[in-house]
Amino acid sequence: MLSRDAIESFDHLFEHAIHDNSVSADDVLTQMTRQQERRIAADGESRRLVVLNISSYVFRVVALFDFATDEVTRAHLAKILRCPRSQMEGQGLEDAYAELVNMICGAVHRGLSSAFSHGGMSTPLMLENTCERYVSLLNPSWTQSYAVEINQTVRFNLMACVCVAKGLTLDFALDRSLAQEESAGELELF
Amino acid sequence: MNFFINSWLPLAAGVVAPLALLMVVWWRVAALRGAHARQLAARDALIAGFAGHVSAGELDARLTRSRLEQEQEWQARLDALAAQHLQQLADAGSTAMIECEQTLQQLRADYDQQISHARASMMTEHAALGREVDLLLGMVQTVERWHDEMQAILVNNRHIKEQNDSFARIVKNVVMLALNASIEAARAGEQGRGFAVVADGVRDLALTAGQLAQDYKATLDKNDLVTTTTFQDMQASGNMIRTTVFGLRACSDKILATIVAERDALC
Repeated sequence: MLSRDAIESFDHLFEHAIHDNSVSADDVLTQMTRQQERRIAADGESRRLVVLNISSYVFRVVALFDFATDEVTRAHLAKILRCPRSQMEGQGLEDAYAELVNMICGAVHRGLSSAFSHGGMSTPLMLENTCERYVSLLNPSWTQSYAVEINQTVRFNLMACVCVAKGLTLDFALDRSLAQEESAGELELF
Repeated sequence: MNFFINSWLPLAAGVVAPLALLMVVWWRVAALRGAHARQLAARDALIAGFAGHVSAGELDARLTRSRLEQEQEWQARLDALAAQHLQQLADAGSTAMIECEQTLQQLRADYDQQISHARASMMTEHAALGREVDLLLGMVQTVERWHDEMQAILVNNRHIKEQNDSFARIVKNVVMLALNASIEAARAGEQGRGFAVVADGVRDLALTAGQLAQDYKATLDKNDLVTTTTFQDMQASGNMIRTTVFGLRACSDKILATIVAERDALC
């Protein structure tokens, strides 16, 4: 179970992490909507699901990113990662998804470190997008989906699940000004 | 004669005895008067001496001198006593100083020994802590082993999914074949009725198998999600523990630096 402060803190962290890391200087984050339920891609639809975990002693955050594989998404990834567009194929494209996920989750992890001195982050892994249907198996205490639209063309989804140890209530409130300052300029080591 | 004797003797005795007594008294008085006169003469001489030689001022001076001499004598005695006491005090102080110095040296030697013992003990404990920290950092290899095993599980799941997809395709083809068989059976008319029953049975089996393949895929998806996120939880927790152990090692290094600096400062 999460307190209201904890929910607002997680929401704030993810919102700012997406905003700070998924757009370059000349891009516009045209839309970011929160959804309780989100449409799961149909079988055969060309999308990639990337999963990453942030763990602490009493909770873990499972972040599931749902990316399209279309041309505009590839071009956007190449732009924000400063890679040649030609690299956005096969393993190069998967690495680009993983890098973007690392950047966003790294910002969330750094933000959490002000409240939780000990925490760790996993490496991102690819799954079939149909796996997202079974998130309830993880017994999340709180989930929030974000539908992100950049330049009205690039779209991706993020589902954040926070799983808290049984019988515990996670209660913390971030110093948002501090979290904002710490969201830039640090390296995340694995 | 006798009468003479008897008459004059008492008379003579009565005259001579008092006369003799008077003579003795007179001699005695004369002697006392002489002595008194000598004393008076001596007094007069003393008075004359005092009167002739000691004035009141000189008497005061003499008395003052006498007092001064007495004071000087007492002062000398006091000074001697003070000097004696000072000497005794200095001797006692010197003795106490020596004893104190000896005690301090003994205490310092004991303290140095205890510090040295404690430092040696801390160095031993620190070395043991360092070894434990290094061993704990070996858990990176454990996480890497989990990662390899996880990859093997995921590859295996992917392989099973591919097999399931192949199975689903086969089932779809079987359904198509069963459908074609039903059509052919219908064309054959009465003779094909038995074959149509078989074709329907095959199609029903294929549809059931198709549903089973879908269910199986859903199970594999669940398995993928749970396995992957569980592995990621282990991996992230491993990173968390590793970071904590690095923090412990940094603290341990600081403790060692403090011990060495304290030892160097004492040497």
